[in-house]
Amino acid sequence: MSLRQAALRLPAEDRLTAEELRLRAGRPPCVVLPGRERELLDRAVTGSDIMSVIEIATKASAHWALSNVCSGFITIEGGHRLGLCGTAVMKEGDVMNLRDVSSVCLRIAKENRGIAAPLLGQLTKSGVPTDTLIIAPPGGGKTTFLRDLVRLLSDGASGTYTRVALADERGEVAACCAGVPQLDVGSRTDVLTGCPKDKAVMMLLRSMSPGLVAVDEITAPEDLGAMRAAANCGVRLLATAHAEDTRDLLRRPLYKELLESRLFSKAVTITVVHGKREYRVEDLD
Amino acid sequence: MIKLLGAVLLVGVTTWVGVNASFRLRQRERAARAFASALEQLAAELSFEMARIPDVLLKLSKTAPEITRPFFHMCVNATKQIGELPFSVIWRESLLKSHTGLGDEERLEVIQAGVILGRYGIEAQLGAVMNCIQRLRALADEASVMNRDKGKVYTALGICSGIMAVIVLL
Repeated sequence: MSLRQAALRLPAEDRLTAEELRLRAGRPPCVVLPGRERELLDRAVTGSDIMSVIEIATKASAHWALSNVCSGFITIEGGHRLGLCGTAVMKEGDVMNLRDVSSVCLRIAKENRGIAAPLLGQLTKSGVPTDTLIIAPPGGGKTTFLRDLVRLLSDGASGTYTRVALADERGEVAACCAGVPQLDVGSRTDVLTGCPKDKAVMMLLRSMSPGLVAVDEITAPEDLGAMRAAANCGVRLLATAHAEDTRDLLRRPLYKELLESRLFSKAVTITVVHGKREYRVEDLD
Repeated sequence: MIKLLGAVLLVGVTTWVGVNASFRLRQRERAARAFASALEQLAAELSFEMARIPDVLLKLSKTAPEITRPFFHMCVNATKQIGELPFSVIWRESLLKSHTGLGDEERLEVIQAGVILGRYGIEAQLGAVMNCIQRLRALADEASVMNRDKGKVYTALGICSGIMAVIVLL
């Protein structure tokens, strides 16, 4: 049985909630569902299976995918993410290419429209967004929540339209393909893709005069500097960070500094309980 | 009068057969060189621009040597089927359906290149394309020699066989 047939034979609910497809050469293929993983087939994935998936996902442009893999993954049509592992080809200390692909992780893009709507009232004041930090562990749904909140604010769901500038360094939020966002980030959102966050924030501030700057994953001191600069310009901030909760944030030097700088007044913590996501808003002031 | 007309017709037909055989040899050489040139363009797009295959095919359908364009055009239309069909099948079917003038051997070489194209890393793809270009050039040279040696023979044979048939029948 082919991988496609196996995927199509999944129960309807699993197909709807599937988050990732993971193929590892020599091991059975798996589908990642909320809170669990299940085998898709009882046979091992072959090298040919992997190359076929890459061929289909990249529209017969495997070379393009393999040469762009140094960024960790590539965004394909539909906003899905294709992560690859194999033998890295190095040149002058940089990863130039990948050969002998051994694993593929296909993360299925989901919009989950409306997940941020119930919290919108708590995250805005008279329709104007407050500076908000979204916290969750990896795979917790930070990006999905950020995307929905950006869309709602941009489309005026809070009662006031907000001009949003989105620094989408890794292309995960809007998933632009040929310049067109594959996922809905709202009608008043300008997206800068592929640019390091610190530079992107400054460029967006200068060129797009936004009301709110949204950034996915603050990971470096430079990102923090850019957020400070944006706050000094009177722009509202929306960002995500990897952590279990605010206490976990305080254990990490960068995030501790972030909290102490009081750039954010609200935090949304996402936790997964029995396969379901729960959202909690906290005041950081 | 009818006999004369019949004779002219007979000579005309056999001459056309001979000339056509010679023309096919020339066409085969021309097509092989055109495909080699188009594939060179494809290799350059892959290695310098790191372009994606559908984009390269679209470009080639407009800028490659005239004789190869219907093939690339057909490929572009068929790329919508990627996912339903492997790219190698799309490539092969497009080649078989378009009138390229390639001989059987050249066609086989181009089909072989399509098996690697779009599916593997850049080195493997460029290797397959360059190998195909080399083979096409060698086959074009063979066709050229054959055309030089046999092209005129085919034409002369066509005319002569027509005249012979007329003499025998008269």
